[in-house]
Amino acid sequence: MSNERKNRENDQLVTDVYKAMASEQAPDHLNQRVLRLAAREGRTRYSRARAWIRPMAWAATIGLSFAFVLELTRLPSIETDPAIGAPEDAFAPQGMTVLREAEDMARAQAGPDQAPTTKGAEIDGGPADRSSTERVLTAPASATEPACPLEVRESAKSWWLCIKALRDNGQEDLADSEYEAFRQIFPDFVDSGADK
Amino acid sequence: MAATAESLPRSTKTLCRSGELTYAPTMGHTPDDSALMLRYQDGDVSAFETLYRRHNDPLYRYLLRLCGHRDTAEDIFQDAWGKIVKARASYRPTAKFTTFLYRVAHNCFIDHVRRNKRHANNSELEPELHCHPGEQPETSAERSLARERLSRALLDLPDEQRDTFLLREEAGLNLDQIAFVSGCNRETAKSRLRYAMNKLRAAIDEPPEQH
Repeated sequence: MSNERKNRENDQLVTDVYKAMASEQAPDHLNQRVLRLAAREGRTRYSRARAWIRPMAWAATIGLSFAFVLELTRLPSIETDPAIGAPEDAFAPQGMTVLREAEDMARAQAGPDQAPTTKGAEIDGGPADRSSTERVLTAPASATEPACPLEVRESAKSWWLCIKALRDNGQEDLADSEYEAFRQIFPDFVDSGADK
Repeated sequence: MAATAESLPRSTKTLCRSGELTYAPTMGHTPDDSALMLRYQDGDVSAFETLYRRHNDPLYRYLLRLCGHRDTAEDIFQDAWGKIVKARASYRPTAKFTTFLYRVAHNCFIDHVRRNKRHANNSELEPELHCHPGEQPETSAERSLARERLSRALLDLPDEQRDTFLLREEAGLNLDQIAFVSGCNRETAKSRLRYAMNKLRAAIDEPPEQH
C-alpha cells in the first residue's frame, strides 16, 4: 500500500471520528446577540439613512422655496424719484459737499442776512424736496444758525473740535445735537486724543 | 437555452447594464456567500441572517476546539462577527467569504491569546460521550472511546496544528486557503496538517489502558 493511500485512509478515519464527535451548535443567546448587532448596524448606516434621504431632501427644497418667496414679498418697493438719492448715498460726504456748494451759491444770490435753512428750502423748491443729507445737516439748528458753522462741518477734525469747544463752554445740549449729526456723517472718525 | 439581453425583461436588462445582477436573487438558486455579504452591505439584513446561519455552527465549533473554553469561544465568536458586521462597507468579494470569515476569527483568537497567555493548557472541554441511536452497545462503546481519545488528542496538539486541522474540518478549506488564513506558506500548512493527522490517528489507535 502506498504511503499516500495510507495517509488518505488515516485522514478519512480521523475525519469520520471528528465529525461524529463535533456536533456542538452555537448557543441561541449568542445567535440572537450577533443578529441583533447586525440588524442594528445594517439599519443604522444604510437602510435608515436611505429611507430618510429622499423625504428630507424634498422637505428642505419646499422649505427653502417658501422662505425665498416670503422674503421676496417682504422687500420694500424701490423709490424711483431721482430727487431722493439712494439711502447709502444720503450721508455720503461727497453728496453733502455738492449740496453745500449749491447752498452757498444760493446764499450769495439772495444776500447775506438770510438763514441757511430757509435758503436751502428756496434752492430745492420746498421742504418736501430736500434730501435726507440736508435734513441731517440742518436738524440740530432748525430755526437758527447751526452751533458749528457749515465751513467747520466740512472737515471731520474741525467739526470735532467745534463739538469739543461747545462742551468746554458748557453747551452740552448743543454739543450733543452736533455730535449726533457728526456721527451720522462721519461714523468712523476716531479722535485718539479725546472722548465724545 | 441561454437568456439573451433581448429576451430578458426590462428591469433585468437595467440590472445587467449597471452590473448589479451579480448578486441579484434568482429563483431556485441559493446566492453565494459573497453575494449575501454584498446585499448586506446594501442594507439587506435578511441576507446577513442567511449568511450567518450557514457559518455560525462551524465557526463556533472551530473556536470552541481552538480555545478549549466555552466562554472564551463565545467572546471570540461574537468579536469576530462584530468585526465582520462593522467591516462590511470595505468588504470586497476578491476571495471566498469563508476564508475571510475564518481569517477574521483566527486573528481574533491570536489577539485573545496575546492578551491572555493562560488560555492554552487548562481546557474545560470534556469530550461528549453520547451513543448514536441504533448502535450496538459494543460498537457504541468503541466509538465513544475513539471520540474521547480524539478529543483529548486534539486539545494536546500545538495551537498551529490544531488550527490547521480545524480549518480543514470545520471550514472545509484547502491547503492554500489554510495557508492564507494562518498567514504561512502552503508547505508549512501541509506539514502542520500532516503532523496533526498522524498524532490524531495514533491517538485513536492507541491501545486501551490496562487497569
